[in-house]
Amino acid sequence: MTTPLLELIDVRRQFAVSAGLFRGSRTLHAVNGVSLELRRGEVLGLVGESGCGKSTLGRMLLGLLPVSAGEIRLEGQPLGSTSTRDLARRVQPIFQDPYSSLNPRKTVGAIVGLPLAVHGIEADAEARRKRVRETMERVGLPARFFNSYPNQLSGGQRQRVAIARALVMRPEILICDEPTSALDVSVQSQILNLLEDMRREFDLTYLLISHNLAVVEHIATRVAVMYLGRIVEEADTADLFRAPRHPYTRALLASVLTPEPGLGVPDTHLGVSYPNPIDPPPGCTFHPRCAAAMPACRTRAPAALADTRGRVECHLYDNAVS
Amino acid sequence: MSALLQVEGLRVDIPTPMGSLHAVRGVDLALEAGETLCLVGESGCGKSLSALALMGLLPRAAQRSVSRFTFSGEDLPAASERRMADLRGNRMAMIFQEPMTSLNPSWSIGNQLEEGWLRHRGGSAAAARERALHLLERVGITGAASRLGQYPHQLSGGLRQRVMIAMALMCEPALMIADEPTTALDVTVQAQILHLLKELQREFGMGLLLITHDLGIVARVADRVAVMYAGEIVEEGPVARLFGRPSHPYTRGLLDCIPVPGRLAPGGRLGTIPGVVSPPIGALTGCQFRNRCAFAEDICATRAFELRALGGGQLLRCRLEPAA
Repeated sequence: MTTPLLELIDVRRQFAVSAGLFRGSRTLHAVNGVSLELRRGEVLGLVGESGCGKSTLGRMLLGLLPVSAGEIRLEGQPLGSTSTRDLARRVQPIFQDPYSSLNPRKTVGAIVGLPLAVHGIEADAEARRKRVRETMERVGLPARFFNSYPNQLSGGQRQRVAIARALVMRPEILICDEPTSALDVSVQSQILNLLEDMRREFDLTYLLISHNLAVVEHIATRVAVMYLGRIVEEADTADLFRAPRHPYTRALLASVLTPEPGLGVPDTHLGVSYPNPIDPPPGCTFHPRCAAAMPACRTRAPAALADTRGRVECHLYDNAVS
Repeated sequence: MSALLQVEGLRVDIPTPMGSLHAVRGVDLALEAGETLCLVGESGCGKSLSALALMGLLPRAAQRSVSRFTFSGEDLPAASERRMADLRGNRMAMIFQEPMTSLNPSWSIGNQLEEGWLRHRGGSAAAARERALHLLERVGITGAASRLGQYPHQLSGGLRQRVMIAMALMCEPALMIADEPTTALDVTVQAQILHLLKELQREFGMGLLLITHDLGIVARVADRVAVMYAGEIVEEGPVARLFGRPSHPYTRGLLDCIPVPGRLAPGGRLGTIPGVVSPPIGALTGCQFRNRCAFAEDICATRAFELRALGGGQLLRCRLEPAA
């Protein structure tokens, strides 16, 4: 089997969180033992509710945040042995909010060209400008925006700038953290189409972090579902949407409001709200919200069960328990 | 039966250095008790300003004019600020998008809930507290009594939005206006909040004016839908009809843009609407969607089209013949 492009092995990340004045600090396990593979050419969707740790995971893959334990490997090489410089040439981010992720004082040309300058690629200024213009054209930004400032652009155009900035280095992997959730629907579809075109053209591999399951279904080839710092289910997109296994995945899918009149608003039966990650429930962390919870779920954390369809972390599929 | 809310010719103009921005350009709305009307459109289409105009909460620079505005049989175009203040939070209530910024961070949940009740109904503080407690429980907040003394920053986004809903319900409004009430929330919480809103609507018989850009929400929640573009309603109709035979090119474009699980084959392309909204500033002629419309002809640049009835309650502002 070929080496995955990116591999996470039992990755953990903790934060010390102040519990209040004079109470010292407590540990928040934002990412709590994630093992995951990103294979070349695929689009892996990472879904989950806010606070589940998906953005923390993305930041670790970008090298913006060190891991507390475990290992991330880029083509078999531990991330720690790669310099951030080399990592940045191969892995690039696209963030959610194109209003805050672009420097308002720099022109579009300077923003897109900055990675080239930092990495000393195309030392000749004219060659650099040419490459910036080419990249801008690729993502559908007219050359006349070269000297424009971000505040002169619409949200969709800004997100195109962010995509151009990520692509100008010709990276292999893009970590897209909610790339369209700040955009209008007509602009969202343009950006999703563009991401798909760019992936084909540049042979890219995407990690798409999103809470919008319809977007994930459209663009991802494989989906990992995250809950309280762990991947609770992983499967090919078609399998996951056709036959979700984990009760949490089922509830997430049931919450998707497709534009079909007459179906009404689903009742997800997720009565209890998302637990405080500082105080995760014992056993399976999902059991207080789970309609199928069994006694074992309250005391024992389920192990990951891998099979041909993917992976699921739930006692329902563990023959020893159920 | 007369409508709960009847609005004709609602206009909102905002002076800008480039000329007057016609943010809302002659919108007609009608809503019955117990009915849900969704205003749908993209940023800048005037849907939020329409709602603020009805509530009398427009920014100072904005000018409102309306040829007819009745609410529960009362004529309101010339209502004094004092009369509007009596109605707001009492007979008509509003839920805003951002529960983080629309709650007062320095007031406890209990005080914020009780303020409106005491202002409109008076009575004892104890009675107001009892009402607040009852409504927090009604919107599904566990441990409601302990929540009354908490502050907004101690609550999650979903809880804050429930508090906002409880606050809007304090005086049993006849009309509830909800502006993107679930946009900042997770999908699971969104489903819960919308479920709750529909349930409360059935219970209290409120008219619900829901403003959203999410066609999924519209399909599941609305009785009737009005699609807005550049300050105008371009298409309107009962929800099943509008989704079944969308007739305005903009409505069709919007429906093609959204990814729907299972609709496209892997790698298939989403529809797009080319171009961007041009803000309705200055003297406007013709259809404002024409520069993004695949069916635009010369006449679209010169003639303004009226909403015309297509039958079955559907209205269309376009020269095109409706979808078959």
